[in-house]
Amino acid sequence: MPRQHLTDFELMILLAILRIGDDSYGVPIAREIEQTAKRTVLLGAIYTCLDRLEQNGLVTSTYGDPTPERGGRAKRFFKITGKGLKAVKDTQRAFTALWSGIPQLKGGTA
Amino acid sequence: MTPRPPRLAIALLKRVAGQNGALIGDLEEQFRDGRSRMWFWSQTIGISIHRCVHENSCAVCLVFAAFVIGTGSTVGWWGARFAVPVLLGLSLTSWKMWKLHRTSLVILYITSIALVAPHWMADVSTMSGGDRLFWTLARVLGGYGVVGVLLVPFLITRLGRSGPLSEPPIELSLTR
Repeated sequence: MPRQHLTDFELMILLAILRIGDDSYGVPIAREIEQTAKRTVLLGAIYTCLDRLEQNGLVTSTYGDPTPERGGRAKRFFKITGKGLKAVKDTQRAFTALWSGIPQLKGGTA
Repeated sequence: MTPRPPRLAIALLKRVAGQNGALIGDLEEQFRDGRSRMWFWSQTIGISIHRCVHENSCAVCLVFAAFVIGTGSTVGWWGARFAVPVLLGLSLTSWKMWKLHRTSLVILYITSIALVAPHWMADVSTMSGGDRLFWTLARVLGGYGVVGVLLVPFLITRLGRSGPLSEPPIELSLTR
């Protein structure tokens, strides 16, 4: 049975989109990853990853209206697709399966 | 008065990420929210390098890489008379070609070869015994080397684009 598995960065981005909801564009996605995962991210890397995810049908994007505080540039909003959601669930399932039954990881932090 | 992001950085971003206005807009928005000029520049440089490596959008970057690799190889060969730097340089270039596989890579290879070639064509008649033998061998091997250097990565590239070496998509089939 074919399954989708994501890299850690792809997974983080998809989870960030799910957490943010309708207002998912570059800035909140980067902020969410930085605050939640404590990881510094490059906006360019986020867009490269999002483009790849869009090409694979895991997210869709739409442009908003241009705003002056963005130098007259539009926001690009991202939304996760059904395929993307399935990929996240499959990855979670795979990680959970790998996680379980490891004695070193039981009993709190290592 | 609202702060304006560095003009030079914006110009660079337009050059590198011209298709992606949303990215530049995001950077500008964050800058107006209080991010520093240093942060803006670090993002700009990071994005430029990232795009060069991942999308091959910057021929200058390739030429620079060729210059570094070619010069390094030449100096290494000339100084130490040892083929390892050359092989290392060629391996790096081959890897780069495999990753980028675009026509502008021809520039990279031609530049590399152009930098190394003068030493291959050095006048051996004025050299002493050891040097003469070394450069004669280098010249002969170099001739084959050029063919190999040009052909092998292109074959890898061709195979990498659509053949058995092509990168798999995200979708993977796993069996339990």
